[in-house]
Amino acid sequence: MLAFVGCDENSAALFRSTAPSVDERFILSMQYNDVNGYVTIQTHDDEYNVYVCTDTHVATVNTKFQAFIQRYREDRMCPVAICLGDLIEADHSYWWFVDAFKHIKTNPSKPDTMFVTIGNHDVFYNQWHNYTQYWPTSTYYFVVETNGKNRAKDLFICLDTAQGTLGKKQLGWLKWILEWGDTQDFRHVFVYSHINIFRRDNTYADISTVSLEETYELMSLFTKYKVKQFWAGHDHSREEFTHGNVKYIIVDSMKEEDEKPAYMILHIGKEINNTFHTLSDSI
Amino acid sequence: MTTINRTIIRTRALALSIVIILLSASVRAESIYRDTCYSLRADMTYAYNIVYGHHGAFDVEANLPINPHFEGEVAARATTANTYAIGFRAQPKFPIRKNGKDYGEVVLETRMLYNRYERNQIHGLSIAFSAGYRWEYIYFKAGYGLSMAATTVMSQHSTENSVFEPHNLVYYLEIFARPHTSPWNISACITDMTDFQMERMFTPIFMLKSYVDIAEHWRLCFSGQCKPVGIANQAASFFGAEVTVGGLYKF
Repeated sequence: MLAFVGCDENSAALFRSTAPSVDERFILSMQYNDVNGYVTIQTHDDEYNVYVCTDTHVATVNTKFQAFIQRYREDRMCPVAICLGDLIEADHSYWWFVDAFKHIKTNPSKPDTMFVTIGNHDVFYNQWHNYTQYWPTSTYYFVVETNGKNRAKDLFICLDTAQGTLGKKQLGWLKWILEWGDTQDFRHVFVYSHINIFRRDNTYADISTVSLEETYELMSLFTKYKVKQFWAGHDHSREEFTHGNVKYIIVDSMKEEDEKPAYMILHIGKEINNTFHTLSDSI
Repeated sequence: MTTINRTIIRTRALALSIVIILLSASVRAESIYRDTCYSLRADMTYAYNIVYGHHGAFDVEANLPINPHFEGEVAARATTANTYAIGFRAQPKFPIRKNGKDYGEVVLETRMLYNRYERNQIHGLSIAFSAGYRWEYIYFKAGYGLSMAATTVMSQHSTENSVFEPHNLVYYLEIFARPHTSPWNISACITDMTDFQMERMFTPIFMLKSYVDIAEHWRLCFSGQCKPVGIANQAASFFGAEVTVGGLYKF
């Protein structure tokens, strides 16, 4: 029966709720954020690159993820990279994900920060506690400030959709942060999460997305507050789509088993330019 | 009068006769799976979901059993969350009878649903085609659905601003505690297509329904439904629930 398909092949995962719930994870995240604040990254130039990957599903091999790390660390215009969730395939694999960073030299001439968002595989086996040992918050924002001729700041908002919903508290926070962002003269506003919010082609055959009500609520919020782009993973299949002046992008996966693992580079300046690259492409 | 004109007149007369016979037959139509009478139903709903919070809804529904081989339905909803819906359903039916014994009926359904999410300035149209089977204790359908949503702000309207979602599996399974002809009943249902919403295939809605005939023309209806999200190959989470109470008048 279609309802009894689950990530864990050995279990009937009809109602596989995780602990803590999305509202509880949000409260814990906000407790961390209230104490530690939000990150601001400074860049020398008005224009910079952001590298985005997703669905690495690291189990015990992380060579493709290492290749991605090498690329963004070598790019002197890239101060930040983002991974859009499903970092690991199953339980006990966070160590392998983080291990990938140790094999690639950092570039001391530039900031080197990778932000992650939590995916369904990252919580499916009740591994929130393991996740927070490496990343203590799943809902946050960060700002990139450019210090070139035309100083600007861009807002990046991360949402936790690991369980197929933002939850009531996080949705309220999103409305607040978008309203706040509207008053702060940000050059661009980006929102990213793991779960895609549309179901536009048959690559979605075996995965689920958020509810219709939540899809339309997010669409109207992003249009109202002039979000430039929304990035997601989960589907493992690239998609670009514009609605209401918001660009919705699903990034390809970067699993070890993928024939063409790919990632996205955003060149952000006054305009935004998205390009997609496979790991076999030379840069 | 030419031969062709006579043929046309006779053909039209024959077609009209067939229609009249069928309509006449509907007066005496016997279907044990639905009421034979035209009916009008009004419901009040209390609902809660993560996006809208607490809200209410008022629904009206007209059931039109034209004859033993065709039934139709029109339903409309308005909610305090500033969303609205109107749906139409057309259902040819094919009773299965052998040696005077009844073995249920095969149903084909075409469903069309217009949703207006005025709070989001978005409206959508969903269409589903399904086939199924209905008998004393069971009713199921499955088929194909597609939907399209667009902004209601005309200045933003374009093909680029439309969201088209094809390739949706629609399904409906209802199990009854008692036969359909009982004056009261309780049923459990799982579906992704209700009268007012056509969800994506991995977001099913679980329902518990009941009715009781309190007089010759009056029926009370009760139902509760729950919609979780993130099931299938995700981590499940509660999204929303509804409780509905209504009255149905049979003409």
